[in-house]
Parts: sequence; structure tokens; C-alpha cells
Amino acid sequence: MRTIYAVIALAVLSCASLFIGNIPITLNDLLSWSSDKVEVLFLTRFPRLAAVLITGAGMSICGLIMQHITRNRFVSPTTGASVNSAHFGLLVATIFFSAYGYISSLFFAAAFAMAGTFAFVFLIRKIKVRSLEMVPLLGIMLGILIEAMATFLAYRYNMVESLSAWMIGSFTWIISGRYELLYLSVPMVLIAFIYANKFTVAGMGEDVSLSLGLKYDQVVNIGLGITSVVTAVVVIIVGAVPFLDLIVPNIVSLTKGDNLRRTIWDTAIFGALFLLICDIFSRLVIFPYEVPIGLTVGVIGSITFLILLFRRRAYER
Amino acid sequence: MRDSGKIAILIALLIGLSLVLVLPGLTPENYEFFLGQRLPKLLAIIVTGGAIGYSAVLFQTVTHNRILTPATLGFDAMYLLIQAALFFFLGGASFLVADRNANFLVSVVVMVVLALFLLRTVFGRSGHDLVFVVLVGTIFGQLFRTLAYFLLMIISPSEFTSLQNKMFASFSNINTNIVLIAMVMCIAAAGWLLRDMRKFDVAGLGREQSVSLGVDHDALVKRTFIVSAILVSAATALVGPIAFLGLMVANLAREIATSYRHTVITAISVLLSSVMLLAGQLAVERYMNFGTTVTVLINFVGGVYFVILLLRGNRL
Amino acid sequence: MIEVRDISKIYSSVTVLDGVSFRIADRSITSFVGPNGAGKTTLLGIISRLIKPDGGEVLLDEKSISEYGGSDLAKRISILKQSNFVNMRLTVRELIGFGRFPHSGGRLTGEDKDMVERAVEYLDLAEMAEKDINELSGGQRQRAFIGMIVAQDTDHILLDEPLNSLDMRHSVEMMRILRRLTDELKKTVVLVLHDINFAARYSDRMVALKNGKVAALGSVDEVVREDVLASVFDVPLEIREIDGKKICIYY
Repeated sequence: MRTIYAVIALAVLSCASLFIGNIPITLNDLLSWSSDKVEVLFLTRFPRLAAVLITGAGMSICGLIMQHITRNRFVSPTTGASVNSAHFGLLVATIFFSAYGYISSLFFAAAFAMAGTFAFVFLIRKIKVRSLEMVPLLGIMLGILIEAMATFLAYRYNMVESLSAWMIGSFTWIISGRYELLYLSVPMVLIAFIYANKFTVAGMGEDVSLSLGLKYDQVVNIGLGITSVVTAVVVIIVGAVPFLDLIVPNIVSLTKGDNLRRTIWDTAIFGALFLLICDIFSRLVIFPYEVPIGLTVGVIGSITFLILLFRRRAYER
Repeated sequence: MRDSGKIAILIALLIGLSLVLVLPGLTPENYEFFLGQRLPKLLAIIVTGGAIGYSAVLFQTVTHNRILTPATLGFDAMYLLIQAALFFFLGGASFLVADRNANFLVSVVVMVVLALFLLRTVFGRSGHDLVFVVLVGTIFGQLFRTLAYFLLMIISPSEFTSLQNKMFASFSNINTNIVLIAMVMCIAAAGWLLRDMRKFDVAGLGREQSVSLGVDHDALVKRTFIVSAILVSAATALVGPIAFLGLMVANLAREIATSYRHTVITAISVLLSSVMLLAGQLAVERYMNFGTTVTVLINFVGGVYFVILLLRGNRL
Repeated sequence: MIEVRDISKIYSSVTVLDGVSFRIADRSITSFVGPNGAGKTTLLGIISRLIKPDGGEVLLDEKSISEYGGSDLAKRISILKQSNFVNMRLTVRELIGFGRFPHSGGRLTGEDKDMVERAVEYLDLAEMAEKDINELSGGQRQRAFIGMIVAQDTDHILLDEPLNSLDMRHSVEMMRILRRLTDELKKTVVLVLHDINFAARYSDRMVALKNGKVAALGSVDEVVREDVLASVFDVPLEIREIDGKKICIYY
């Protein structure tokens, strides 16, 4: 039932978001097919809406997958060093391989994200960690280390400003012709849907997976591969959208439980809806300027994360 | 080698590096100008290093871990938020923003109060689970940082980047008054814990065992947090965030020291921390032509050490 | 003498201890037994002031333990918890030296050093006295910690599940040491035990807890009875006597 409400809200807000911006567009403009207004619509408004929906759904699903693979509610690309690693890769591509354009950005961001994420997963499997909260903490610290390496490089090549800009995601510059790479997330998300059941089993641990006849390593590799590519694409086009990937799956699982096949649709829809609401807020709060989405989501996301942490505490006692 | 020998070597290193930083190019004509510039910087480095080394060891002892340090509690972000909030509510021309001494004092006081408030609320709810406390601190750090940028954005979307860069502290624009204020503050705070050194030896056995041996463990933890808040706030206001320095020197100090005594371990950690910071600053100035900052360099080296520490299978 | 008077403890609306009262006889071994969640460890924690009760008080020689100063109480009551992982490089002798902390504040006097040596010998630790405690086996480390408590020289010793993670040989060794502490050094030993047969074999008195209340207490003969234990643990069981000692069979 709730899912239906979310879908309706998503549809209504999607339409509404098309009419927000510096150039006012009215329904009359559309009905009379005023050509310059329609051009604005196709040049900036539709691409932006698409970018928001894909980012919201894609990152939320990444978070969901990483939670299951690491068997820890508080692990996501944000807290698992993936986002910072993608920054690092993007920086390397921009400095050394800028001639190759998006292809090199995609290759390096995805490869670095993968390396960082795998390193993190390897670390937490190798050292036996005592507490649930230690795992995301380690991920965050690993992220600080990777960020320090990137900053070190950025200083040498005068790229510090670009690097700090990537750390704050923004939809401001999304226009037709500059965001299409994001669509690469769609097939990734589809693969995630197909593997949903296997991720659920993998989430019960290596021993259980093996005894149920699941190729554990393969499923883990596919899961981390998907999250790395989606994270890389989002980082290249939008930048970091902190904690979105962490809070959405957590909120969904509060009401829908932890069976991935049941929750993956809700996670995608709710993630898109959540990011759309944040985006509309960001565009209106200091109109005609806008606040980068990374900041809006960063504030809301970290507060929600704190609430989740304290809630779990209260629940346990 | 005996511990006293190790301490002597570290002191010699500290003096040697200090001379390398201060002396080059001094002539009878220019020495007043250069010394006026270099001595505050040297003092700032030693105070910062000492503060971080001191707080990290004691914090790790009372929290019974070797991975978390007070720097993980998000102090740098707190500093950033205070700066942004002052700017936002009072404006760039106001006394508290423009006057560096007043700004420093207010920042440190607010940071200490905020840190203690956080620790109190978090501890009140969660008892003795320190990993939880530190994770909450880290997330609060992220919240503060984004809130600070949010405020800057609202102040002026077009000047956002230049404002953002202005908010960070650095050794190169240090002034004498601030260093002296910070030094007095740090020495007073650190001195308060000196008489507890033997209790820290006991506290290393764990809360239960130290209570059994008559140490008021909860009070000791509280004192350690207050002192850590003061020391790290002062250090952050001087140079900005150096997340991994404390972690690195505290662990190295435990490995270097033969004794388990905190008088020895803390002394080594304080000296080592200052030596590393000084060496880092020299490397940045002399060999990298300011091509990076000392904080980035130290976080890089410290971060690698941290991963090695994890791989060696330390219990977490 | 320790007296527990009307102690209760509530963890977020779950009552763990509910009006528990009894006296602990001096110079004897008293075991707390009972099913999981009966409140044994919490009770021991409260007696040793690690945990604050929500109601009632613990008296030591007719005076509430909350009125004692930290180091005064540390000269009277010592406690050993089940997990004693230490993040420091300490030799066994240094660890035992910590036992003198309440007496000398960490600066060992000649008398303190004598006490440490006596504890080393008493627990037969002389061979490994200079070894790092983290290099010892579980049983040896446990013995080193007991050594610390012997050096602390309190008349009351509390232990929380001292047999946890010890194998059979070390469990027997540990209980024999505790027996000697009581018989030779006149200590009062209070411990939480899981194994009813270890408790019956080595204790003088027992306190059986169930759902936060005292279900039975008294000498071993008074508590180790089929009807009493069956109702405490909710399993049918049988008690046999072998060489005058009671053995409980519950499987």
C-alpha cells in the first residue's frame, strides 16, 4: 500500500520539479508549444529530473547491497571508502588522461572505487571486529586516508579546488549532453534486481551461503562491482551525495524487513523520492540561487544517521 | 636501550630540527625580522604536536583501544562550523571574526563546551560503549562540516569557494599572541592530569580492574575528556585537522617504550609528535616548496601506518 | 562481613534484581548459581560497586559501601571479571605489583615488594614472573590475575565466572587455589559459577537465584537438593552421593 503512495508522490513531484527554475514555464507555454520554453524543458529540466531520479535510486540500491554483503547496517559507499576512492580515481584521470574525456574518467573512477571498496571489505573480513559500530568507523577512516592521498596529488597539480568541488554533489550543471553517462547506472540496477535473492543469502554470511550452494565470492564480487560502477558514475556527473546510500535502505528496512527481493523496489522508489524532495528544497531555499544537493542531503542524512544510531541503542536495551 | 636514553635522543632530535627551522639565513641585520616570524611558528608546531601526542595516549588508555583518538571526534569540523556561524550571524567585519586573538579564544571555548556537551549527552545514553561514542562524534563532525558549508553558501553563493578556503587555520599565518595563549592553555590542561599518571597505569587494566584497585575510573575518564577537548581544540585552531597524527604517535610510543608507565609513554609520545610535525613542516618547506601542506603529509603517512596496524591484526 | 540488603536493579523496565537480601559468611566460599539471566553477574557487580543498584544497599561491616573511599574499599574488596584482556605490555610481576596500588598509590615500598614476591610464590608463578602476560595461556593468565588479587590482600575476593574458557585441568586448579585462599589465608571468596557440580564440590555456601530473586540459600547440603534445584533450573535432575560429596546429574 505504502509503495503506491510513494509512486504517486514521486509522479506528482516529478511534474512539479519541471516548473522550478530561473526561466518561468507555465502550462500555457506547453499547451501553446512556445518553442524556446520547450527547449529549456528538454535542455535542462528533463535531464535534471532524470539525473535526480537515477542518482536517488542508484545510490540507495548501492547502499542496500553493501549492507548485505558486509552484514552491517551502517556500511554504504559513503562509509565504506568507495566514494573517496572514486574521487581519487577521477582526479588521476583528470590530471593524467584528460585527453580521453569521459572514458578515462569512468575507467579510473570505477577502477579506484572498486579497489577501495574491495580493500575495505578485505580489511573488515581479515580483522575480526568486535562491534557493529567499529566497521563504518574503519571505513570512514580509510576514506580519510584515501582523501589525504588525493589531496596530496591535488596540491602538486593545482587541483585542490576541483577536488573540494567534487566532494559536494550538485545538480546545477546538469544539462542535455553532459549527464548521459548516468544512464549507465540503469543496467547496473537491473542486474542488482536479478541478483536480489542471492544478495539476501550472501547477507546471511559465507558459511550459510556455501551450505546453501551459493557461489559466495562470485556474488560478493558482482555486488561490489555494481556499487563501484554506480558510485563512480554518480561521482563523475554529480559529486558526492553523502549518507543518501546509508539512510534510505535503513528507513525502508524499518518497515519492510530485510528480504532484499521485497525491499529493493521500495528502496529504489523511496531513494528517488527522497532525493527529489531534497532537490526541490535546495532549489527553492535561496532562490534564484540554489544550495548544492550534497549539502542539503549531507545535513539531513547525518542527522538521520544519528537518529538511527540512537534508535538502535534504545531498541537493544 | 633504556627509556631515558630514548627520551634523550628524541629531545636531541627536537632541538636539532628546531635549529634547522630557525637558523638558516640569519644575519646580524635580518635576525629580528626572521626570528619574529620563525619562533612563533616553531612554538606553534611544538605546542600542537605536544597537545596531540599527550591527549592521544591518555585517551586511548581510558578508552581501552589503540585505534581511536580524540581527533576522530570531529573537532576540525566543529572549528569550521564555529567560524562559519560567527561569519553568518555577526558578519565578516565584526570583532570576533576580524580580531584573531578574540576569534581564537572564542573558538576554543565554544569547542570545549560543545565537545563536553556532546560527550555528556552521548555518554548519558550509551553507558560505556566508546566505539559508539566515537562513531556518533564522527557523524556529528560530518554534520557540522556540511552545516558550515551550508551557512557559507547562504551567506554568498558566489563567494563560497573563497570563504571556504579562508576558514582553515595554518602554521604560515600564525601570530605570537595566539601561540602564547594556546601554550598557557595546553600546559595548564596537561598539568592537571600529571598527578593522575599512576592511575592511568592502572586504568590500562580495564574499568572493572581499576575500580577493584580503588581508582575512580569514571571520574578519570571525565577528566581525560575535558583535557583532550582543550588540547585538541587548541591544536585544531592552530593548524587545522591532523586526524592520524595522534593515532600514529601514541601507538609508536607504546612500541618504543620498554616500560608500561604512562609517565614514560606520554613523554615519548609528546616528543615524537612534535618531532614528526616539525620534520613534516621542514619537508614541506624545504623539499616540496610548499607543494603540499603538513596536515596532508602527516595524514598520508599516518593513514598508511593505520592500515599496517590493522593488518597486523590488532584487536579492535 | 558483607550484607546485601533489599537490592534491586532495573534495566530499562526489565527487573534484573528484585529485593535481594542475604549475608555472606566470612572465611568461606559462597557461590552464586542459577539459570542464565537470573541476575548473578549483576548482583556480583553491585556488591563490588561496579554497578549502582536502583534500590537497597550493600553493607561492609555494618557500613554502606558507598560511604567508603575508593582506596579504602579497595583494601577490603577485590573483584576479578571474566574478560581480562590487557592492552599493555606487562610482565607477570608488574601485573601483580598493581595489586599494591590501593596501599601505596603505585610507588612500591619494600613491604609492597615482599607482598608481591609472596603472591608470586603462593601461586607458583616464579618461573614466568618476567614473561609478558599476553604471551601466557588462558589458565596461566588467570593465575597471574589471582596473584594480583592476593597481593592486593583484601579480606573479600569476588570472581565473576572464573572458570569460563578454562579447560578441565585448569578449572580444577583454579578452584583448588580458591579453596586454599579460604582455608589458609582466611579469605572470604564469593563467585558466580555456571557448573553446579563445581559449586557443590568446592563451596561452603550457595545462593541460588532465579528471576532476580533468591530462590534458595544456605549450606551446600541445604541447596543441592533435587526439589530445590529442579525448580531453580526448570529441568528434572537427580542427585547422587559419591564418597560423601553430592553430584548432580541433569542430562
